[in-house]
Amino acid sequence: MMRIIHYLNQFFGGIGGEDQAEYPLTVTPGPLGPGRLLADKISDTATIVATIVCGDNTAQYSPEHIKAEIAGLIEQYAADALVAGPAFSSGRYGLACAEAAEAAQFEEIKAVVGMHPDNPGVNLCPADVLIVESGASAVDMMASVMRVSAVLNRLAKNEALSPDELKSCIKRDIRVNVFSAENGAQRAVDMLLAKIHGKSYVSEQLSPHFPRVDPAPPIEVPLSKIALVSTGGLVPKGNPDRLESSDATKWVSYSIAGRASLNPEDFECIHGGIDVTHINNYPNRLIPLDICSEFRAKGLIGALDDEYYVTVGNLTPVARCEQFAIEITAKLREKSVTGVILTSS
Amino acid sequence: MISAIPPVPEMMGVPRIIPGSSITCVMGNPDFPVSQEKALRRRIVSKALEALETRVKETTYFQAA
Repeated sequence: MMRIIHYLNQFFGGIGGEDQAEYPLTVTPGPLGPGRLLADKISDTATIVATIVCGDNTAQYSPEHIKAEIAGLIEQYAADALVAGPAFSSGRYGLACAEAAEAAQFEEIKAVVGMHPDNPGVNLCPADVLIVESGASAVDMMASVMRVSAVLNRLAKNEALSPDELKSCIKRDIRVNVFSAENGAQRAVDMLLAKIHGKSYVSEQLSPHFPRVDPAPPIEVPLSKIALVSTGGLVPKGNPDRLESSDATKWVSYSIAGRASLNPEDFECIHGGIDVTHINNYPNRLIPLDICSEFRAKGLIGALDDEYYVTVGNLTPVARCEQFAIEITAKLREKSVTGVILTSS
Repeated sequence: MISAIPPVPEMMGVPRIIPGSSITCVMGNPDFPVSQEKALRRRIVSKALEALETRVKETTYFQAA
């Protein structure tokens, strides 16, 4: 029988709610709370030898101390595996579960954690810890415990997870080293041949996944305020804010009030990934203020924002660009802008 | 979004894409005489405005050419 030590917070450990968040780390022999349900589902292969209960605040005050205590208890109870949670989407509880999993890793025993994919603890769990997906709240307790028990039963029997059980674990896209009988060139050619012959194959490389943004509803441009935004690095001559020519750490905005065109005497392009000659000769080739002013005068555009917004897309990480977009959008909303013309180099 | 490399915004899931002229000159063409280049820029901006006025559910191309 696999010996399991189970980590719970003060709420699921039956101590109390937020008023007990400072409850000290304690240990009780045998299962408690959701552990009783879990013990019942794994009774053929494993036994819960002890339950650790700790207040959610306590676990955050001194994580190193808590990890050391958990490691000590793993040894004391000669546990083969640690289970933490399910923590659902509870943030502090999730972080505490990640701490418990780290202690298990330190003691070189298996760890299984239950969490919702949005729980911040997901990113803090050590790479080889299985995180079984749970619902967002304890309403999902029964189903979550069932999924955890299925994984535990496999671990106890030293069996591989079934495809469904694998699916119940949160994918973290962590690269692992594996040994393969064929070298990379052979595997790549096999894949290519499979592709050419319309046969199925599995790529060893995951394509990056970008979050999708719902398309904004259409607007009536003659009644709308439009802003000009660019990733092409157009700045006032001399680059007063030191916008980086690659790997940009910021976005900046510059006044175009009273201007009908972006003239080469006042603006320059500092983008580090392209030949900027054509843009420097006539900056409207990057940010089309000349045409937009013309359209504004004709009433084809309701209004133009009095600033343009710019960063450099060259080698700038997507996550940082996403943050820029959130910040620029917030500013545009403040200024009642409802449409954007975004130009890139 | 106006881009001279539309597969990039398409990969990122940009809903409204207007192909630009060239990488170093997305809104123009230095080989054209000024009036012709302006006409080209006018066409691209007009397409961008048309895109803003169009309901889209997924990535949609608006060709200015």
